Amino acid sequence: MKRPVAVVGVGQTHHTSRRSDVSIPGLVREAVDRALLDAGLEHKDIDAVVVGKAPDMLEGIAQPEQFLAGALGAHMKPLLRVHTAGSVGASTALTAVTHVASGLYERVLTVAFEKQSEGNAMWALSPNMPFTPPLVAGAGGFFAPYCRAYITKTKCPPHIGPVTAVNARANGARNQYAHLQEPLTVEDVMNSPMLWDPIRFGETCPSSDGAVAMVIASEDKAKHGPRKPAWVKSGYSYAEAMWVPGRDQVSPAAGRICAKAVYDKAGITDPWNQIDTAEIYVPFAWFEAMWLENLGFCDVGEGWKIIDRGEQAFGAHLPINPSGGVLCTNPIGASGMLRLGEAALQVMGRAGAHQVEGAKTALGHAYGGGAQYFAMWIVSSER
Amino acid sequence: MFVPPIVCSPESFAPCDTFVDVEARGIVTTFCIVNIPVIGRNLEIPYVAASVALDGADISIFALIQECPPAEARMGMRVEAVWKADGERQGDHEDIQYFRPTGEPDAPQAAYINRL
Amino acid sequence: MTSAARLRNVAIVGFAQLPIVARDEHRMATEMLYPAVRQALADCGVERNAIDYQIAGSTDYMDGRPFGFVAALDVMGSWPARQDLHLEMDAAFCAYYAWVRMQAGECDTALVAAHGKLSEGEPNRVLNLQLDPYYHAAIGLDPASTAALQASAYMARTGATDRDFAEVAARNRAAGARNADAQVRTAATADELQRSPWLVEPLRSAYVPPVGETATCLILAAEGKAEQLCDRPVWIQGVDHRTEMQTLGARDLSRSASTQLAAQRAFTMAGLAGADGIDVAELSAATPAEELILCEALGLDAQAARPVINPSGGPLCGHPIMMTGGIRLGEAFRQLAGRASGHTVAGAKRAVAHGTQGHCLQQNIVWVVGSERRWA
Repeated sequence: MKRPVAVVGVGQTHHTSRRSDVSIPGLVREAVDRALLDAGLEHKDIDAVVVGKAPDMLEGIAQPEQFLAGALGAHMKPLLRVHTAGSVGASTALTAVTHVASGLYERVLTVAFEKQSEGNAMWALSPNMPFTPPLVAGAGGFFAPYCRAYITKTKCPPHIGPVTAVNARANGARNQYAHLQEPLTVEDVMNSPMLWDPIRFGETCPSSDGAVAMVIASEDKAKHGPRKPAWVKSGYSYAEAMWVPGRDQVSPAAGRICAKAVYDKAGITDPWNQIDTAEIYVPFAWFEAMWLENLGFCDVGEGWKIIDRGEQAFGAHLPINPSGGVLCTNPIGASGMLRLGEAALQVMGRAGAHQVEGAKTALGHAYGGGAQYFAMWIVSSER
Repeated sequence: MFVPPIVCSPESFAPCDTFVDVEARGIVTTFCIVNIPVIGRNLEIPYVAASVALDGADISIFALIQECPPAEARMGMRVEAVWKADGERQGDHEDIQYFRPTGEPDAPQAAYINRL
Repeated sequence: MTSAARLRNVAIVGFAQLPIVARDEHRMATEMLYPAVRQALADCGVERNAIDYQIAGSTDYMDGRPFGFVAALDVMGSWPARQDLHLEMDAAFCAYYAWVRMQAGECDTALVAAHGKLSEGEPNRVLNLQLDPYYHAAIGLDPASTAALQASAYMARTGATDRDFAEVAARNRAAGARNADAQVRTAATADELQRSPWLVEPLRSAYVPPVGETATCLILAAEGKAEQLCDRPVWIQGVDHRTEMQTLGARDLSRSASTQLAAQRAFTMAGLAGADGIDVAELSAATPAEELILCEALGLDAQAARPVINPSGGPLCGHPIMMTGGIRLGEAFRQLAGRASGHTVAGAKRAVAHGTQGHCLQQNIVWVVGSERRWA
């Protein structure tokens, strides 16, 4: 990065299944207003706006950033709209970071949202692909076979998915913004219906309406704000092709390559010990074990054992998703930015009841497409 | 060798310009059992959606598995296509109605675990 | 942003497009994109691995498929995994972000792809969905109607006439006839065009582009690399983009305030007082009214011999939405790099390329490019 960049404000909505009390501009404004308030800034202080969200069919408005330009405070400013599937919230934040790192912009507002109650999310997540029978029913329908492959290859016991879900929901109970805040038991999860065998309802993310915004600023501006900033030590977004013979769909190369780039730039050689907490994109419980391996926190085949030993629980060695993660809150376009924003809140010491004590270095991670897009950052309390 | 055909190899970036016949038989590399309906689709729930590695192909295709109780579906199961009758085929993916187990012994894990 | 700051010299070093057609009967969007990417790389004499960064522009709604853009990864050489981004925007804006990454030192070369097949859907219905769902989309506005509102506002303020529009359209048509990649390649006189029926008054059907599609690929490179990839790199001297609110009633539709501001900033970055010494202006004007409004906003004299406006024929002769702005940048490259063959503007050394998004020129980007490096 050409010059240091920091997060100086974060704002999000109270995520829920249906925000019938606000329009999309209203939803987005809640997050934007909170982020600006958090940063002690006004719209006039913002040089550019970078927006991200997932497929527009989720709301039924094509390129809604145009409709939202006024609500985003973008009138007569540069405005860009990112779309990298599930990872979009994260790649959007990284786009804003590059704007500031370039020296061309001092303060950039970045926003990610989804108001998917406006459309039919299951339909929007089940696109018909050319030359392929329409079998995939939602994102879970695409990923469930690879969760099965992980379970088979690593001999992962059947309780790992439920235990992961229970832990996530316990974390969500500590997050005032989370969509799902009621705890679950392992029995609740085991008794919930199978949606796409092996993924159960209790192991699946909700469908949420929500928005999140951050203000990314230069070092000079960050030093003058009311908050202790979160310094962006590194951030990269990578993507790989789908139809490569022998492609690893369980631990995609793009994820490993992106993680390596992000760790190398941030000077992290031992993620398991040098990272204090990680917000990673787990929409279906089995992915937590898979991503622990893909992100280099452990060797191949060992991810589920970390969960079995409870080492990723709140208060344990490496708390994963202290916010509750995607399993508790999933406005699709926003989820990636929520991961990165929550990581920032942790090192800013502002995560409230879900604060990981003494967190100085945090990872934010998101993925999308057929596990092809990966976007991550490392943030630190230290410049 | 890519099924369905694609314009280039994503791995080498070279163009793919030769059509090769391949038999519609292969191995279920992995699968899930779908219990959710999607608007606009007529499939009977539950159904087995599988990734099938056709013999000789380098990538897998998605396929519906029928003539097999969902609980009996398994990774490594050998399957064959069931086509529409001769006069009904249009030359698209719907010409294959579904895949069904052939009854042959399952393929060993090594034969499919890296061809998901 | 400090306009006097020394920035990194970045150039356009390659541009490939397929001819714009009403409908490609045999190929999917990704099958059209692949040859464009191969051609752009071949023109630069490099393999895919020589390019550090890739960014693509397209829109799901035009594709008619959520996540439609994901398939493009397989035809852009995304193996091994590449640093990548996709914007739901025209390629001209994707090129901007690639330029920002170069300024940040994050890459030295970039591939900017754009794809989409308008013929497979109903663009007018989709473009209605871009509008405010409560007050604009609900009354059935489509791109022709909103463009007509803008044309009407322009005529009311300036006294421009139907004949003025016909002459702008005729000039574009004559230019398109010389561009092998244009979709509409037949010249027409202003008299002929004035006889075409009203589409939405005051716009005649001959004043708006037909539906068309193609695939495009631009290659950008920073100083040090650019010279290896192109014998005549076209240097980016200034660039800026701005958006306005969408609400049609809240804007002066007879002007393009965001283009004016973006132009001021771009010219200042280029070290220019205004549109000085601009030989070519490639403008994303979908109607003659838009062209006149943009000329005013950019400070171009539409009657003067220079700049030559839309020597490619402009969008009137081919408007593959999401690619139109990128093509304007590509055409500016062709002119300055001596690759415009049948539609060359002799001795062109500096050009303006403009891209836009949304109804009535809501969002605009202005590029100033030239044969010389901007910063020593």
